[in-house]
Amino acid sequence: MPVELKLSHTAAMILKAIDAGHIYGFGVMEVTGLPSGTVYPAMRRLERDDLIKSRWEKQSIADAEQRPPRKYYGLTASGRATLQASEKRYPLLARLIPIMEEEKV
Amino acid sequence: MSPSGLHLAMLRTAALLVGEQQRAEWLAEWTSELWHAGHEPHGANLTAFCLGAFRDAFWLRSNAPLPRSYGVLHLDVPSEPVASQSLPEFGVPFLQSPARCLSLLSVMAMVSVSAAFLLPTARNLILPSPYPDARNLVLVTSNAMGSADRANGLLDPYASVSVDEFRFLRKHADMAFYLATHVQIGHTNLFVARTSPDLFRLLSIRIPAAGEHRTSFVLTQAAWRRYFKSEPGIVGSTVNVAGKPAVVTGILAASQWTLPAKVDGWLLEDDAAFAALPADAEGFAVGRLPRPVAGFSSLSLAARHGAEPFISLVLEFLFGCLLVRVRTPFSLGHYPQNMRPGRWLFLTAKLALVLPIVIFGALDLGSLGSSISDIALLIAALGGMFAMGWALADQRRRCPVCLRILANPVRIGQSSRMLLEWHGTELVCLRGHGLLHIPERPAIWFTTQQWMDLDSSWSGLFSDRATSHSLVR
Repeated sequence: MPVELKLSHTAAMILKAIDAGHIYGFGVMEVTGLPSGTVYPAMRRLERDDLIKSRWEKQSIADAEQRPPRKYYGLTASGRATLQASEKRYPLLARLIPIMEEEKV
Repeated sequence: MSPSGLHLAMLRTAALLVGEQQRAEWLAEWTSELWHAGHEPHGANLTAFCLGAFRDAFWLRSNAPLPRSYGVLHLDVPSEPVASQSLPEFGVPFLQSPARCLSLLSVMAMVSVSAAFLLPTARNLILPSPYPDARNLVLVTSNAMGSADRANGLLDPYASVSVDEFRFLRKHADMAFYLATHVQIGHTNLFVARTSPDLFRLLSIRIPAAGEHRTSFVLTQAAWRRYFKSEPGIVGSTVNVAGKPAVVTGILAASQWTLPAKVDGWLLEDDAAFAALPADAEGFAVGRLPRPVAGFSSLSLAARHGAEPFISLVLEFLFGCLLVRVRTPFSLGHYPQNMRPGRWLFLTAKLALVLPIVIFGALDLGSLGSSISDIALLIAALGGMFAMGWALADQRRRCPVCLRILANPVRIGQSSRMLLEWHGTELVCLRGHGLLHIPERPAIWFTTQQWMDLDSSWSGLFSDRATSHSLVR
């Protein structure tokens, strides 16, 4: 039996931000206005609960741009389903987070 | 604002909070994020950013992967991923479930009782006496040497009646006498009861007469098989017992002899041979004693079977139960709603099941030899002590609502700060019924363990096998 998840507003906002293309921690901070001490632990919980997954950027790409590689986050299938349920619960969520199509991975 | 050495130092300090296995990756992520934050065109408060790393590191430390436990609070302990959200069973004590606990006790009780029926000595004690007139027949013991103390139906009395005393008793009552001794039969040494001629008559065991002026010898089935190789024509033959000829007149089944002394046979001697026994030779006197005789104790043969022999075992068990008080109080603690019938029924059921386990277990172990030994009483007393101690300890560590064993013990407070705080252990019911506080050292205001009920508003904090999972901030 699938387990229904109930996200807090903050967790839903972070999930929505990642879905909108803000795929690394500082980007989520900027778009949500939440401090780092809230965003990073929340992302760890979301990852722990299999709602998002992370991957490290390839070193070659980072080297080419002369910067350290970043850790990117993306939604899992269950994360996407949970976000859809959360959007019904928090109707204003879609308006709060602008979509960044170009950064979507 | 570019990242400075101070910010990197903050991150490295925060990284110390993170577990060793995750530290390198965690620091790499935060260092990378710091670099990118420092190169943002509109700038960022990097110090505030780095302070957040402490919270993140602390969260990771608090939620480091733990050994799979059987209880989770969503706030504190990482649970399984949502896709496989079910409480892991690893580490759950087998007796956590009250039904499982009672089932195990029931099985143990059945094994204990069944073993008693399989052991011949114990079985003889449980089954009714094989002698039809057992209620009127008594086993007489002399009060000397404390033999009367053993006349409790459970333990065999010592051979304490001398031949002289038997002659005195026979003047007042219909009595028989036997004494067990080793005799040589052929090349074999057998343990034989030399008996007065009327022993089997009193016991209503029909044995054919051997003939005038001839000694009758009765074998046990075991001795017949062992020493005479189950010889079919043994009955009626003459054997040489201690240098005298005796006619084998019968073979007796083991169940037909429940009197003291496990012998291989009975030598039914006539009065003349019996008169030749030394006057101070001691044996057992059996018969009908209409009234008590000074200096002797008597025990009905019927009292050596059925429920009566168990009385001494039960008394020892109860004595053992009382001994528990030396180690621990009988009090189960302070519970706001003490009259939960299920809780008391469960305790009663446990005690009702440990009673046969201990009593029959003691009987089983005590009857491994030829007769019930004193060790049965010792085992009953020790068993009572341990069983009662376990039943109370088990009851104390269970939730009074669902009766499951409490889990996730947490040490609270410090022993040096007991003035305003309590110091002890807190356990939680995994189903969210409440918390149990056990003081490390009893104080005037906190003498015993206390139960705190949690109402339904707390249920959201506790995971459930099939209910929703709430993600908290």
